[in-house]
Amino acid sequence: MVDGSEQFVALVSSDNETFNVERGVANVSGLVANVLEDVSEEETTIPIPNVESAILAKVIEYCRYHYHLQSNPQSDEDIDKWNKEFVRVDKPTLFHLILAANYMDIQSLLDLTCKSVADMIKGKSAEQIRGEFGIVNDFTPEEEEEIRRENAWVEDR
Amino acid sequence: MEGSERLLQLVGMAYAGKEDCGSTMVTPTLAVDAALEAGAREAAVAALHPRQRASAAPLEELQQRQQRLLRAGGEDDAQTLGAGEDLMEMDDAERQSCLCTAGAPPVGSHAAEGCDGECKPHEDDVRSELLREDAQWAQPGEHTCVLAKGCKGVWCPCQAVAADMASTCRPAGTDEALASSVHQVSDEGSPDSALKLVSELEALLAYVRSKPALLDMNASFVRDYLRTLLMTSSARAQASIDAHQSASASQQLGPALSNLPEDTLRHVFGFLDAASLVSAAQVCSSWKELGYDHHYWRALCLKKWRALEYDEELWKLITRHELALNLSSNDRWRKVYPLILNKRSWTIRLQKTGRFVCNIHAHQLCGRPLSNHSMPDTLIVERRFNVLHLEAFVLPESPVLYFEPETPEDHDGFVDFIEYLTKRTRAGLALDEHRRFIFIPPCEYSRTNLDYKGVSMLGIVQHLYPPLTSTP
Repeated sequence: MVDGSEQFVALVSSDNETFNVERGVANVSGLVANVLEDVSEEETTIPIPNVESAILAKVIEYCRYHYHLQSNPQSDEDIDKWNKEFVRVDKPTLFHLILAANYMDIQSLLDLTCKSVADMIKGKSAEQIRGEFGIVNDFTPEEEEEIRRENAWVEDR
Repeated sequence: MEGSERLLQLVGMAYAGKEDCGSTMVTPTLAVDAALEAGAREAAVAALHPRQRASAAPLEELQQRQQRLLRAGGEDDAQTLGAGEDLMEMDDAERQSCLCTAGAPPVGSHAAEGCDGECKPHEDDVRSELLREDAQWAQPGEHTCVLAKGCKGVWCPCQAVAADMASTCRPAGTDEALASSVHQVSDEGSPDSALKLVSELEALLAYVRSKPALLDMNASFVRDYLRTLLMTSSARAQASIDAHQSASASQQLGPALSNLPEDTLRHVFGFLDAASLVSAAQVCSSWKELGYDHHYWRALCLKKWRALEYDEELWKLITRHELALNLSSNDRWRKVYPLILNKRSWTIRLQKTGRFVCNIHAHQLCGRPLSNHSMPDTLIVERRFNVLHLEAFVLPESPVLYFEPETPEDHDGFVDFIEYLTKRTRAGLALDEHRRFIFIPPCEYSRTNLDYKGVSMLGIVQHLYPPLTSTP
């Protein structure tokens, strides 16, 4: 993998922007790694049609950092700090990152971004969660009461 | 009312059905046949009262249906909106057709086209609006009155009033109003879907013209009624499209959380603790389904108490006071969670005299609560006695523990130890200052209602205990 870092792969975003990326960095993406397995060692262009350039740039930033950790290890605290900083973005960007991580098959990025959304849910009431994500309450008062009753143990704690 | 409802229903069926069977001819035309029979009566009634038409129930219904289509989520919405957006790709005639097709009254345009008969003054308008592109369709005299089929012999008064209506029904500036309204519609578009709508329309028109029986009937009032309907509907449609676009414009920055694929939302839920899962389940019905998914609750339970995965007897011990709990349903994980939530547990080194056996988790099942610091780090099983004497040794109120190996590495030592006791029908005994701990392998013993026959080992903690009267 480290040997391949000399070579470059061109990743093309949905809006036709090309990113030249070291092969090793690109390989962090399962999708890209899969494609690269089947092609020759020569310079390759891989379209990433589901990801627009602004998001692809972020994804590559993530891949690059995590790829270079292999040769340049950091403490868990530093990695954690970097990751936290990386997902400090607005919600639309975060959701786009989730979709990109899912599509490009980058499990650690998917975990990181989904965990970040989970952190937005944690510790909030149902009403606060609805407000945070613009979700409409479609329960009848009876249904709402039933769920509350079923889960009264949470408040009892 | 009835006729109008039926018309709407049939048109709706025609469009829904067509998607399924892939036919571009049969279903819509059948619907036109039936719809026209039903609709002509309504149209005629409306025509008789031109001033009330704007507030007439059939019209409102058509409009409401159109609004619903425009607002409804999913494919309906996309299709309808798409049709609206397509309008700029077409000339006026096509726009008019598609506004019809996009919303409720697809029949309107067909009927309008068919209204020839005595309303010659409008024939050219109609043709130029609807058939401008296609010369083969624009043969004079070929037009037929579709709605006449419904009128013929059934609703003769229509014909009598038709001449009068022809002069009053047609609202001034219809074409201008329509044209200006459609011009304001978004200029995004997909020609494919526009072409599809046009071809559907063409198919219907062809069918209508192929019926000689429909010729030479006077139904211009119907045409005018439908024209009014079309105008009002298209204005409403445009307003809805505009409203929809401005509403979605704010979301165009990115996908909403609820738009993420279910897999990824599931992934998000996997990071929630129990209290957050409960809050999330109270957000809306689709989140409830996710939040109640047994996979999360199973994981949460097993994190606290791994033996729940394999020891059915443990379930019985935990839930013996929960008569309503159905142990065979997937829901049991979510239901048992509150029962184990506050149960204390400790990690303890288990030793036989002079020899390490394994690390165990001890969970308190029942009895007077043991304080967090009340358990020793190491328990040394120094003596053993026959399980038959348990009746004499164990006091009913004693706290009961459930043991399980701490990690998979501890599993073998743990199993060996249980086997060692079971083979000899022995219970183990460990002493810790003023307390004693009794290790009970799976057996018939049931003094405290704990006839445990599972795969693990119970422990009983005694602060006060009768003297040992018999030791092997």
